[in-house]
Amino acid sequence: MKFDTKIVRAGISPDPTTGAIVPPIYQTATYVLPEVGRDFGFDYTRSANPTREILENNLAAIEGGKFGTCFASGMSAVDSVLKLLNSGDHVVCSDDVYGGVSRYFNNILVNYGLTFTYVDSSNPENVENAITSETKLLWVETPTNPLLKVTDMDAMSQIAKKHNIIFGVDSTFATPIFLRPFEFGADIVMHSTTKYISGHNQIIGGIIITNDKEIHEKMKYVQKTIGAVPSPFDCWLTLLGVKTLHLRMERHASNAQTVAEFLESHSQVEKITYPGLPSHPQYSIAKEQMDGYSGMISFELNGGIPAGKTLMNSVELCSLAESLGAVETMITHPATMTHVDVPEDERHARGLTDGLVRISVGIEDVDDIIDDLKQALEKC
Amino acid sequence: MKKYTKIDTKLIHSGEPKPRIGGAVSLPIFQTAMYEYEEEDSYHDIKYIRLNNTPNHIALQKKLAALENAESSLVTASGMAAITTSLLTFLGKGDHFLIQDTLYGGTHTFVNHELEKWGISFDFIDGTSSDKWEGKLRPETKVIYVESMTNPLLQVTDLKAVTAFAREHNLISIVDNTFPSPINFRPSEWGFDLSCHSCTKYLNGHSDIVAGCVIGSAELIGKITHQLNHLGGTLDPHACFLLHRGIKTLALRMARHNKSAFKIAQFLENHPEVERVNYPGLETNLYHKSAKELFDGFSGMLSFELKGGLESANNFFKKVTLSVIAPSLGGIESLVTLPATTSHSGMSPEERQRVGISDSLVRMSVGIEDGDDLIADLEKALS
Repeated sequence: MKFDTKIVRAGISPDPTTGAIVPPIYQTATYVLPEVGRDFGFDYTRSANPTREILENNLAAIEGGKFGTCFASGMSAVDSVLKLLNSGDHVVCSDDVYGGVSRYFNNILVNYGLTFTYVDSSNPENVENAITSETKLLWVETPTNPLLKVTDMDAMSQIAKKHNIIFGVDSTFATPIFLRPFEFGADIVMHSTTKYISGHNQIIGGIIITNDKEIHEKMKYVQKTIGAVPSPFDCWLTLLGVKTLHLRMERHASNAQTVAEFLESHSQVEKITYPGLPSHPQYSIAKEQMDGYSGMISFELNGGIPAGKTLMNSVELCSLAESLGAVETMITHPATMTHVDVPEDERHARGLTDGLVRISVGIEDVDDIIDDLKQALEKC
Repeated sequence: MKKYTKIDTKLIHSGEPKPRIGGAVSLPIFQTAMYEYEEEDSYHDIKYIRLNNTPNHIALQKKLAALENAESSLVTASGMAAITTSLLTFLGKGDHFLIQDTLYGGTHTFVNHELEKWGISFDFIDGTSSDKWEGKLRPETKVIYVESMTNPLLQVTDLKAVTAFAREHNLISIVDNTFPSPINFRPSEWGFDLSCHSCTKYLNGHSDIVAGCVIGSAELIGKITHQLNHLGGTLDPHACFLLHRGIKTLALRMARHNKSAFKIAQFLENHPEVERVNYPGLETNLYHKSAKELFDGFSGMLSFELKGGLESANNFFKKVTLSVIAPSLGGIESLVTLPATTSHSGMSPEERQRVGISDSLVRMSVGIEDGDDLIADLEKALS
């Protein structure tokens, strides 16, 4: 089965009882047992649900992994991975990791005796140097949010193997269309399925995929015990979204490449970051390990905060919205939106400069996206 | 609100309320039957699901109209609800209309068995021989009804002749535009009064709902809406939500459907077990020239005749694995079907024979899987 066919069909066959081509929404809390001690593989939806199981198998197959476990959000998926650790354990993490993840690590998990070191993982030496005898997990995001740093997967895998630590990848930005971390030896692949995987801005969800039976069993145990499970209906909507993943990603990437090239030559733009541009610091690594560069772009606007605000208030087609990875083009200005409460020096230290803008390029006609940015940039 | 001209952008942005309701990028599902009374003037203005005017209906209807560069549209509970309600709006006791002879089976059955009792008469016409239409006209003829591409033979109707004929004789022209979808053909640009769709097919495209729509001028759609308000074939808000969502990827899906179907048609054309392939994208096809003029793409539907009659058809269906054997069409999964026993089983064997639907005619709705996988599967099934 070729990749595009897997996306549409893997793990999905017509319902055996009715022939229904789209899997039923098993919106049921519980299941009737045929007799004491026997069930049909399902007893209670928090533990397992047929619709959810189809999604787990479909996404695992697309990612090239054996086992998938779905969660109610990307954050609960990350949380479940951290539940593999014990008090006293240490984690090495990409420094430009999603803000929700670092907030969780720094404000909550430290209270449970876990310690964290953040490094720029685009330089493998930083990762190697941060590892201690307590390190149990290497958590890498590539490309990162919002600075789109790309990390060398081969190098990470070698370091993780050498020190016998779990190598987990948040592959939300790349998706299996452009990067398949298992091919590089990752132990865990995580997605916020809210983003490209479901792709239509309609659900919140997450998944953990692994080839390691022991990790998978633990994930299932956490799923059942902690209970952060997605509803059967959200699983069904996600499955529906996955069907066009290959077509959407192809368009996201080709649109983003065109938008990035437009921005690179625009006088109001000081600097642009897109892994598909030769000017990207890790362009050669991205080119080697990815099949495409996805739909996320960040750029530095001349004119700092006022220019950023003007741009945000002038766009018409692009929606001012904090999520990403959906059919609609969305734009954010971290300094006045997502990171408005972060003290200025701390924000700057994280590379979130005053004029930084992030675009999640949608699947509209690219000329319309560029026209909108052009008219808005003229006002900055 | 800015009016977008490019269809890829319209799919995402046209009809979306601005500002967005509650800021929600994805339109909320208004699963409520009733709304508080706001001193509306007439019954048809009261907000109520059956009156087709909830926020879910309105956004969707604006989007559909924009896709075909028309003024207005109405979503319905099924494609058949769109077709039957449209016909019943413009036809009454004593009226007569012209309708194509190679119809979708559901339409064919409705016209043949239901209309006479209401005093409506009709004549079948060959959609590709416009010179014969005039002879069937009567003073009481009101409507001409065709399909842009016929099912399952994929003949391309002489659509330009239909609109010219309708103008000349003051008829309402209606086209079932399900097969091309608005990506490949936009009837209002060619002068059609109304375009019907089974949105179950390409427009929604994910095989998860049944829905329909009719697109046209505000005046005609207004009349059909009044009729639907009485007949009640209304689309539920939840199905509106799913259709709205499905439409967003229409351009990407159609591009893939068009591309893979063309590849498969070429493969089949060169296969020794295949007698004949019906796909207007092929240069050898009788309708290629007019399809090229009218359409921006040739769609994902094709049919082919197997050598060896029903027996080889049965063998084919036993061996095909990737394509699902199922009626319906236009979804992301590839489907194959035997029209003689499914979509056209309502016709008598003689009628089928007359319109060219043999027992070994296979219809394929080409999905968005990898085209090479589909060809490999067909190759295996044909061996």
